Amino acid sequence: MGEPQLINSLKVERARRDLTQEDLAALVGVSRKTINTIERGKFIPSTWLALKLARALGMKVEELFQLEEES
Amino acid sequence: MASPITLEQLERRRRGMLIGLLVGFTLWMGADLAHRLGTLGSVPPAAVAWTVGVGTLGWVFYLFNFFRMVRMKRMLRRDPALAAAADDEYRKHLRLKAFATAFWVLLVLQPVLGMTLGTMPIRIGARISLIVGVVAAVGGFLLLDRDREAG
Repeated sequence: MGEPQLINSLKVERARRDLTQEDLAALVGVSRKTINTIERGKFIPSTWLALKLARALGMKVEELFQLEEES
Repeated sequence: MASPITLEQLERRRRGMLIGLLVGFTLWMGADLAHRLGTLGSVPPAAVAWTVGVGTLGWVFYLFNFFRMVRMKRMLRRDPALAAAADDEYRKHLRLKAFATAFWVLLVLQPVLGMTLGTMPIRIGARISLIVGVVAAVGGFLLLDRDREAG
């Protein structure tokens, strides 16, 4: 069994709230590139940033980020 | 105090400055290296004459972008929120990756330079190490920091 991958629903939740990447980036105090790379799964945010993102979207962090078990 | 510049604008300007610094540094140091090699007879004399002009241009361009960077850093000191966003954890992560890449590039270069001992002064080997190190670090960062499509 391989290492579980981190997946997120950041793009979906952001779109649901009609926010651009830039809007969300401004809310949490990071750059748009950072949001972009997190959404694409290319960068794993720190716990601090993950909590800030969840708070900005009004969600729990475990609703935003999950571990996907590899089959 | 809020800056009259958005984060996107700042990132674009900063990237431009980094490219300018890299180009200026490469021209300046590359020309200097060519000049030094020329004094050893490794570079044709006619080409050596060009190195002074190219090196000076490179130095001026490097200095111009260096002062732009200093000015930008002063501006950011007046806007801590923008400064924090401009140097967020993703950027720190990229910087670390770029330095790590440069480290490995330099490590691989050393035995290659070691093989030239006896045929080339150590000073020139050190100069090559400096140029390769800086280019690998800054160039690596610029490659990693390329903008992807916005969502």
